[in-house]
Amino acid sequence: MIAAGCDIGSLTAKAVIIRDGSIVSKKIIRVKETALKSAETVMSMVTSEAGLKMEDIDSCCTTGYGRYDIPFSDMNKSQISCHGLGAFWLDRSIRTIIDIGGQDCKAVAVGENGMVKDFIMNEKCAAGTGRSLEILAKTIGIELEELGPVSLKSKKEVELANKCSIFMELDVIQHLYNKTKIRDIANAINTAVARRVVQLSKAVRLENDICITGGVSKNIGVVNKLEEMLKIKFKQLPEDPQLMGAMGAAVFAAKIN
Amino acid sequence: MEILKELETIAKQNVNTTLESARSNGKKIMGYFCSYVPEEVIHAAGFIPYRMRAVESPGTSLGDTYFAPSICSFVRHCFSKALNGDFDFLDGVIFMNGCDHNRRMHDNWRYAKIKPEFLYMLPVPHVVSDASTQKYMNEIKKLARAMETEFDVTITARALEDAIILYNKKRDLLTRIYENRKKKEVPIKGSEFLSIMLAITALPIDIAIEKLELVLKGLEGRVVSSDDDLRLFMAAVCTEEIEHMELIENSGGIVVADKICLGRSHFHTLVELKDDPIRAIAKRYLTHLSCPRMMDDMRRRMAYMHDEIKEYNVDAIIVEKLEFCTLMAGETFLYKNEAGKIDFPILSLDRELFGGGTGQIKTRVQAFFEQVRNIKEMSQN
Amino acid sequence: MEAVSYDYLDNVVNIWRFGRKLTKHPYLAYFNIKYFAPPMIKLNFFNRAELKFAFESIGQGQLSPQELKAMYYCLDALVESVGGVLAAARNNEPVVWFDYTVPSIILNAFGVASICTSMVSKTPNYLGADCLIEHFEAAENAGVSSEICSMTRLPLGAVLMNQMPKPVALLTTAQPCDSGRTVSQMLDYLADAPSFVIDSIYDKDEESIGHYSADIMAMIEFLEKILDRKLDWDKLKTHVEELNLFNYYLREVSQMHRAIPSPGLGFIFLESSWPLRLFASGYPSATKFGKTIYDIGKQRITKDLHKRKKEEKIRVMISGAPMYFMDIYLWMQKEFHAYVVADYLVQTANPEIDTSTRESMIRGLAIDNLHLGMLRQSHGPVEFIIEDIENLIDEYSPDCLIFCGNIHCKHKKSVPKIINDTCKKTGVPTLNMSLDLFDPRANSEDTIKKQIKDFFINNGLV
Ligand code: SF4
Ligand code: SF4
Repeated sequence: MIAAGCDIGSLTAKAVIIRDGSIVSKKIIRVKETALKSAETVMSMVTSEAGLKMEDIDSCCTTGYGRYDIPFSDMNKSQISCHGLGAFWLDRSIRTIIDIGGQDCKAVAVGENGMVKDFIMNEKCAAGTGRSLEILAKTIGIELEELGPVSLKSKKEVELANKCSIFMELDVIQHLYNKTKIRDIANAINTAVARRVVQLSKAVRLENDICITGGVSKNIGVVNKLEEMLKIKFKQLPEDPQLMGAMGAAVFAAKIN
Repeated sequence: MEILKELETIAKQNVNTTLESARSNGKKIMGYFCSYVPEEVIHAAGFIPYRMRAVESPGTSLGDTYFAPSICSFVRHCFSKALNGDFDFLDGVIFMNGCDHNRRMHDNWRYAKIKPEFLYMLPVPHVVSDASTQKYMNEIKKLARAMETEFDVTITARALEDAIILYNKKRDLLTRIYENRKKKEVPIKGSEFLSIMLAITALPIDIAIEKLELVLKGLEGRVVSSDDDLRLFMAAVCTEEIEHMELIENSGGIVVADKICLGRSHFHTLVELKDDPIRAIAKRYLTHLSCPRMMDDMRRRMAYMHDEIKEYNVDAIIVEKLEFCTLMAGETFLYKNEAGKIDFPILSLDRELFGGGTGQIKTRVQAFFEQVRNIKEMSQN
Repeated sequence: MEAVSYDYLDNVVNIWRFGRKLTKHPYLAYFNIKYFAPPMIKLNFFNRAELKFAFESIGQGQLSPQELKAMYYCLDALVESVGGVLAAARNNEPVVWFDYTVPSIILNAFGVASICTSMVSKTPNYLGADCLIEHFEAAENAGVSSEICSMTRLPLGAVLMNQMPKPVALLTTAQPCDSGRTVSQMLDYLADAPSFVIDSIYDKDEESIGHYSADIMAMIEFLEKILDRKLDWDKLKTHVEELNLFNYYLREVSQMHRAIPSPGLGFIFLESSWPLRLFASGYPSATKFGKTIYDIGKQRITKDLHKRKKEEKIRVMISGAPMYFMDIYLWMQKEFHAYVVADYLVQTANPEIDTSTRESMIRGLAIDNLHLGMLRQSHGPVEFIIEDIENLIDEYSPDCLIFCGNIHCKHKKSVPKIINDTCKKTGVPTLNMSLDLFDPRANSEDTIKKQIKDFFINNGLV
């Protein structure tokens, strides 16, 4: 059986193809003008990489903000279920998934079948998401990708309001005005974002083993802080954590959970 | 069903044609906020009671100098409408101390010197006791006197009694419609029920009763649910977005029971006309299914939730608050803890009225439904 | 029985005890604090942040020996009250929780240990800003929405951390705000003990006062049933007479600040009278506190006029001080010669209570209660807020207004235009600070200082 999972997010679209229980191709692209266009593009790339045609796909599941009204989709599932199932499918010991994406942050607890047992998702406020990291990185004049590595060099703890991103930004500006070192502010930003995530994830009972997915999982600063605050070590996934949504969708499509 | 479509159209309008023609025939219309303002008294004074609403709001920007952004969107929408002249068709507005946001609208309305001229604050007790009933009776009498003086009308005991009969009739019809949702095959959706509520609170009572009778008849043999729909109990306060309710129900659920201001709370408990009509009215309004503003009734509200879950065979609870609604913030905590006690699935939503953000809400609701189904499946295995 | 630990309250009471010991000999304390203050501040309190707050609350070396003597009485009253609650809890004696809006003097007359839930919000402060954050986070982790006003939300943290002795009853009022109303119900839910609610009133006319008094009477009946004892009315009378004296002194001190220059007692008067009123209503040591600052004020008002006139360059009217930055007053004095002469929340104008009959006493207590900050301004129409601001400006001749307040106080947030217009009309420069009096996460001490400094400079006050 050939199954496809397609995750159309706010910044990137991802697709994964599974054939008889193993991954045959995967792809991440920046989103196009419309959800449909993103889905078509990423799917045509991933199928051609696997040497397949769209018609060869037996079942396709979509997820992400653009999951609706995709003509070739046979079903759609929420990102929450997909991230949970994707990570679980790759490592059956996983019970909690912390996913920090561009515009939301969620903690998902899965049961022994990899399906959602409980979840929590941030409300509208952007604090604790990739978006707030992006804004704050811009405020201190560095690239988003640098935020992690730069923060590791910090030698001094500085405080940042962690209520919401507006307060954070005000505090960051105040630090710039006071000539606090960039690396220390970067560290404070990561700490503040991590603290928000910790607060959020406390609402679901965190069970071992835990993994982290989504774009922010690539920020080493936030990841380190989270491990420190939660007193845990994240399990490493054998695939790019950003692909988990599409992975889970493919597993749903293949019905092999 | 034709009648439901008609009611939905009315529900989505600020003013409907029936109101307009009543007005051109010289009938007066009195706006009121919240479920604690007695409609019977307004009716007995010769007005059509009109429940204030945010629908067709021009957005909140007009009111934003009067209210900070951390004030509830329902209030900001309503006040912007007022500034926009959308409520000019009213002859007066009765406010009450339902919550601080709403109560302060009375202050801002007076300060802005906008129409209508008759603006009245009805302070309603926050506790249920003999003393508070007495106090509330006094307040109702003061309100009656204020209307009598301002509009040169007389509110007679007879008129009050007639009003009680009419409004009880409405309550009874609504209860019967509501109870239809107990059925395994549900004949009416939550979104449709909300439409009915919005429509009948903007229509003269006799017409409202006619429409409700039609609805009730139309429900016979009607089925709108499918077998795998999750049966939902929904708790909220000032919710009036039909589209939002549809979003939830289109994700695979059906609202079968509620604790919403424009829902069960509106018609729960009849006025028991034994002696003095004012006393009877005061008693009913103070003791009906209470809103979180009532301080000594929280245990009864929680018991109500448990009862509805059983009676209506509910699968999951959705508790919803509008952003910055303090009262519902506390109530959400109570609901979550109560549901936790019996390990019952509950989802809380926090949103702005007519505020968009549907993508996130859809995801949340869908994930919740997936979770509920998964738990159900696991427990069946 | 299992030993119960109330770490936070225990620590707070211990800090108060230490402060009481220190200020028992005010002159010695004065030199000690003066001598040790600068190196302590320099060494950042040996990295023990909590000491900073304890230290701030005794004026960090800026209070005179006489003021320290007043502080002694204040701490004595607080130790007696909260220490008494902890002792009662450990001896299995009943404890009653009450909201700040309840006339707690009645509980004192009942002789039952009682603790003001909303005032517990103030106590973690003595253990440092981190402790405040711990309380907030405990509440938030349990699912308490941070949209509820921080002042009322904080005690939920203490309860959820099991830091509050279990009550036999809860007393609360239905005013002045949604936050109070909702939190009272949450506390009721968590404590699962019998509760009594005094209903709200919207007006302050005779009829409303009558309803309010009747509810207080009903509360007494409720307590008599719960505690299985009668209220000792003679004892209540003695307490109310103490309260009358306390109010008299505080009223006088308030009014002395109308003078230009003022006696400059803002910090000690405004910061201490609120906890005393709530924790120790009718306590003799509270009266002694009042008398001591009254004496200081009387002495100051006539002495060194010329020198003080030079010293008091800016007269400030404020609305509360941030809990995590209690010495904001002293900082303004030191940096800008700015003196707080009036506080919108703490000002005392409570009239004398007629103790001649039970009824007159209860009626008097109702009126006294309605003079409490927040309750006074917010239980009714916006006119109450406006009158208060206009009167204070009229009477205390401030050069500027600084509004602090809580981020989620819906009263202030729903009439910003009316308040701003009022202030504009009076022509007094106004600073609306975006901060939260209780939640240190919303703003830091540095940003507060910067806002005030910029405000003073921009308005040509310095
Ligand atoms: S939603 Fe809440 S805050 Fe808004 S008007 Fe209704 S009760 Fe008040
Ligand atoms: S600051 Fe406002 S919301 Fe907070 S307790 Fe006081 S009146 Fe209530």
